[in-house]
Amino acid sequence: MHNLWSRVNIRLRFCDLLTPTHVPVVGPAGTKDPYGNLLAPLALSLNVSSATLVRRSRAAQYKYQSYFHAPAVFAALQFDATADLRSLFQWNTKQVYAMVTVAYQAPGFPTNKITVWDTIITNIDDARLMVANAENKYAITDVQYRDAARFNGLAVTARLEWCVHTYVGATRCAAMPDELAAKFTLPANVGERVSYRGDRGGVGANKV
Amino acid sequence: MNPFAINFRQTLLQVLNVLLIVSSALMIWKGLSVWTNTESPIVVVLTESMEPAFGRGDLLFLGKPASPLEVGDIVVYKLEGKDIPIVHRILNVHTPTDQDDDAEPQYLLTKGDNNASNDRAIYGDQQPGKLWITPREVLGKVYGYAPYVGYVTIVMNDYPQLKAVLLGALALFAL
Repeated sequence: MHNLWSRVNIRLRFCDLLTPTHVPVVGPAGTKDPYGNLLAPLALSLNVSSATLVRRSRAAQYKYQSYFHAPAVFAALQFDATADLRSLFQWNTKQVYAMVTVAYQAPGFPTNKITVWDTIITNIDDARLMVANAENKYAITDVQYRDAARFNGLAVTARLEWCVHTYVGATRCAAMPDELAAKFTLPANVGERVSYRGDRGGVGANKV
Repeated sequence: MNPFAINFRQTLLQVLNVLLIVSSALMIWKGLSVWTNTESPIVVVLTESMEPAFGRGDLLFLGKPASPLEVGDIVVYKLEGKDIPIVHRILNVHTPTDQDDDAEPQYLLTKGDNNASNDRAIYGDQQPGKLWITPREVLGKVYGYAPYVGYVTIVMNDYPQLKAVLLGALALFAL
């Protein structure tokens, strides 16, 4: 107990070295993470400009990588998204994984959430996310994929979410606040396309 | 008296010391398993399918969360018929209402960040037609990680002679 190292050693034994943290929602002002920095992406916006219900076809299966089953209907979205994720790049940030998710409720399944688009940002110079007229990369199909009417008139919510991966330590995820999320309704019939571009630009447009 | 003579009691003490070390290691490992609620609380990444987040040789700390798994979580799952667990990110989550004891609480779809398409090719490898995994196959969720620390395990698997050499060196130190 007489040298610095044994004193430090005893202090360290009482520290909790492994602290799993998961931050589900970030408010407009951001949130304090355990390192004391604010995770506050700016200029968040997600703006869905159109939605189409595409009938099953080989081309649609290949486009959305459904190689192992043939869903009766695919939803195809077009959207714009912006996010200034530069504030997430702290000393310990290895990469930021940003994704657009679509959440809905359907008979028999109270919660469903699908990742429709994602990107990985590895350095701060690429951290200002701006995509325009992007399509969903991944298939938007339901668990009950044989039901062609499953998506008719369904209310969905599209959100931009992100996860921060560190060089060492815990991974933290957050999502855009609910008031910025794009809430819209899919077309009423398979084969139809609905455009949300009124004079304001789309669902979720002009919200900052 | 011959100074190099090792008597029976000292040998026994050495053996007991080694057993103590081995059993402490096992206790710590199993204790960690209980605390994190998963059978393998620490795993090593073997492939590049999650680059750039996790590369070969990284150590992952797993735990089994009490709350349901969510989109964006990175999980380690093990399929029947495959002996190597896979660490990928959850893309889709569907939660059914039928909640009797046998029913699956969630249907999950995963994909490695560095892979072009989702994991259905892997699911269907041993079980053709399998489109989803369930929390039953998930060993744990990744809470944090340490880079490169696990590379020793990979090297020892690729070169088994190294294991023998290391054990020999350890035994030499214990004498």
